[in-house]
Amino acid sequence: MKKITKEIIERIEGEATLELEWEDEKIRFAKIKFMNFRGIEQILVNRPIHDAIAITPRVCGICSSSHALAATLAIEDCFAQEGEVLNITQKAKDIREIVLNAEKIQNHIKWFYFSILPELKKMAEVPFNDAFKDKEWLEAQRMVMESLKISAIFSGQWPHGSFLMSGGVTCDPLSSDVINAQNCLETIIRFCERSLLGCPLEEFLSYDSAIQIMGSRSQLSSAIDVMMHFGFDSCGRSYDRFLALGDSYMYEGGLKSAKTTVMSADVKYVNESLENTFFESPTRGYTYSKSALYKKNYFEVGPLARMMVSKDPLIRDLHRRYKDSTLTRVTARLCECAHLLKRTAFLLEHLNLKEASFIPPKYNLNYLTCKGTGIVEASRGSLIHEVSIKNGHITHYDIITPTVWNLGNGDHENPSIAQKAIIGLESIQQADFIFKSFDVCSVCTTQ
Amino acid sequence: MSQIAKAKIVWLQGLTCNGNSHSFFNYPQMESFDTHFEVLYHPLLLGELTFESLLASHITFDFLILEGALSHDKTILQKFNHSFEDVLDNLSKRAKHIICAGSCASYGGIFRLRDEAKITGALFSGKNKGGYWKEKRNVINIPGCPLHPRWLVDTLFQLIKEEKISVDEYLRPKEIYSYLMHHGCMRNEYFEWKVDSKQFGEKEGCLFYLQGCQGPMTHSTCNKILWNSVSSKTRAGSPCLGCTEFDFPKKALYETHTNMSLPQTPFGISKRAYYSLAGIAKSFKIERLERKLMDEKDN
Amino acid sequence: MDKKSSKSEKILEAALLLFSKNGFYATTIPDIAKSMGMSVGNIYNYFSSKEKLAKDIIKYSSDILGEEIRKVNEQECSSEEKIRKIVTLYFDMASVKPQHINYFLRVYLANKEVFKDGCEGMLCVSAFVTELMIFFEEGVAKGELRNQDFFSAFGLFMGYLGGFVFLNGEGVLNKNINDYIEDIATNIYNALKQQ
Repeated sequence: MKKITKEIIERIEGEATLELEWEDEKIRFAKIKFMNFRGIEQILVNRPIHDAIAITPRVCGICSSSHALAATLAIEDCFAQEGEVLNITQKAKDIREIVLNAEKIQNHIKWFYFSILPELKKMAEVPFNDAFKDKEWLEAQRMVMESLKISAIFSGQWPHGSFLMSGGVTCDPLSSDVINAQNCLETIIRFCERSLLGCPLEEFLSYDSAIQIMGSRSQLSSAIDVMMHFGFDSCGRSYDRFLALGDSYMYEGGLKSAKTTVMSADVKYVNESLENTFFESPTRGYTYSKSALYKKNYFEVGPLARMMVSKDPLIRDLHRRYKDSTLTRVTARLCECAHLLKRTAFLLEHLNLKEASFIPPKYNLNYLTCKGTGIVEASRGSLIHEVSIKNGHITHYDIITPTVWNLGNGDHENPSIAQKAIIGLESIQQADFIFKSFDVCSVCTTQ
Repeated sequence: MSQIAKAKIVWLQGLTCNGNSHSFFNYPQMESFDTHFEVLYHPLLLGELTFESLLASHITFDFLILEGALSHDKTILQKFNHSFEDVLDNLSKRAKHIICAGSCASYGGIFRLRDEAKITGALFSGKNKGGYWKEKRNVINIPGCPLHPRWLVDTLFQLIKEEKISVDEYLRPKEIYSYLMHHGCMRNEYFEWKVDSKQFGEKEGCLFYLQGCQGPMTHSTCNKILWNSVSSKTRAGSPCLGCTEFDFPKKALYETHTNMSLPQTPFGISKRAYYSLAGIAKSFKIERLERKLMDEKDN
Repeated sequence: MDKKSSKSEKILEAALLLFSKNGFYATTIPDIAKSMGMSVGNIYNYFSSKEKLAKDIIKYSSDILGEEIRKVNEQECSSEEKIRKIVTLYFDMASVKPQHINYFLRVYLANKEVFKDGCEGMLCVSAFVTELMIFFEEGVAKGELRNQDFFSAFGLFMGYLGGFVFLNGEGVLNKNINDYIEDIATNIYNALKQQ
């Protein structure tokens, strides 16, 4: 028997509605609808290019620094295209990464404690009535603040901080600022060891088997128990194809992988599809979300993709057992959080304050007419900004967000990553959780 | 501990980036907040009410917090298959106070630039009176992109204590918006003596003359209470973008707009007063201010 | 105005006349005292040195000219009209009270060493410069004048007027200086206007 139902997805960044096509009690197809388009790409046209650094963060309140950085990299690429490769000091690069990492640590903690854990508690019928009274929620909220304090020390504020400029960063921190940031980070590490991971950070990062996580007493292992109980170790699987186009200390260059085979990847093979969007057809379209494809194929982006292309032993082990299921996806995000904590501690420890924060470009931007691309590995995956400028003013701006990769709209023959992950399921509750496992950001999608 | 009757809050989003929600999540004293307030519905949090059960209920509440720009046009804004008009009409009638959290809900903000006729704030469209509603008596604007969590929570506390909140012409609480971003700026001495920041990435120099800082014209307490308890844009070496004002975002945010080299004067300061004082200050070369704040050679 | 300040203003006026005619070094305090019928000692009650007097004169002069331009700035008329009014009042001053302009050209600009302490930058001419700033800023804000660097506009305006008053003083002009107002105002406007 066939039927169509309309569902809403709440408690994600922004909102989404689903139109599910059912056949014999199973989901046969899902139309994912993101409404409330805001048009930032259009708002940017005719503005001086540097405005993009201030305005694109307003695409998204939870990954604003990633957008600011992607915009900055795109501008720096414009200089490079015209022949001036800007000299960004190691200090500036490190500060950029610290701010980005702080945002990701915040995101992953917030996502797990504000979104995933309450859902799992609800499923397991553990009482959870009000976020503000829940001890775990409150503690997580404090860790979120600590993490964002690290960002604000360098970026002035979070969200929508300001610290980037083509040529470096605008801040000029003191040694005591760095110590303040280190202490905030230490607080988060202690919390993660005590609650989330259940063991010292170094020990967790040495794990290479899923059994080791499950053996410890931690919020992560409890979450894994509940997920296994409800079958998330086998459902939520997609194409098992991964992509990470932005730079990371964990791997060299852009990479993609099909299952466990890793190959290099290049942004030039990315294309955006307007299929099913209102942009293509105001009448037949049903969403404002475009879809991003790599060589005409859907690829998953995000922490799981990054862990897979960097051949992380622990996530590889989970993948061997549970493939690209919801369980693996959720664990990968928390595993990435652990890596980010260690990496950020290293960066703060080695930050060379004697270097310059900023070296002004020699070329006058107002004479540049060219195209530039900036790619950042944001919390949810590869974020691409592409800008065309004429005499330093924006003529075209294109943003491809991670959620556009994961939650695009394909068709019955070629469904998108998230569509494929829910096709065949028998309940909307499962589908809802699987959606959340991708850490959906609809505001990013309807920029 | 005695049980206090809690003030009830419903949070509704229009066209938004969620930045004000995430800023609110940075409020440091959440347990105290919880003692006095109950969030019946927030789109990002799991609570007792779902969106549908909220709409279907007849619960009244003390605060409707609006985040994001608003529109009557269904093709621009809708809420989970409902028209936004239906949702807001339903909820606004049940609220004692309506709080516009952020510049989008206050004036239309950044997203208004897409369609200035159809996208507005609750009671303002940019600087003009008349937004989503023509008039409404129980609205307070707390602009900022995003707002500071304390601006919101402090105001909520004042309202439940039934303090009279005096507001300016844009319905902003005067306690917050009588101050300027400029107040408390670490670069104030450079401003006084007209020592420009030569380039980004330095602690020295004022960002008003070249880098587009709008601190002297922007109403906020950013540099008084600081962000995330530690910093502010100008402390991080970036210009104030003027985000609490109706005309945010202006064009060319990292350049100072000048007429014949003369910048806009600080809020409420006449050109005659400002140019003569600036001209005098500029006539002197203050050596201490020309040097690095911490000169390695002094050691 | 109290008695003391009215007296000191009279000294300024007398000194201005002598300085602008004979130059800074050729004029002495006794010369000034003599021209006023005052004792030398009494002058020192008002001004502690000749240098101090010279600096106060340039401020005094700048204030007078600034006050006149301020009146123009406060009028509701176009930038083109304002240029004409400023040129007119400047030339008026050059004919009626030429000592002010001469002092600026022959004493202030020619003897920078006298003014280096206390008149740094535009400190002593700020009243007058401020009014021109306001005039330029408002002209650009109204869309009537082309936006450019302040000094390129200021130099064009004042260099032209100063140079013309100099030519007039040298007696080389064919016509009365006021007969040039129309052409000069038009030239300045054409050079500064929004294209």
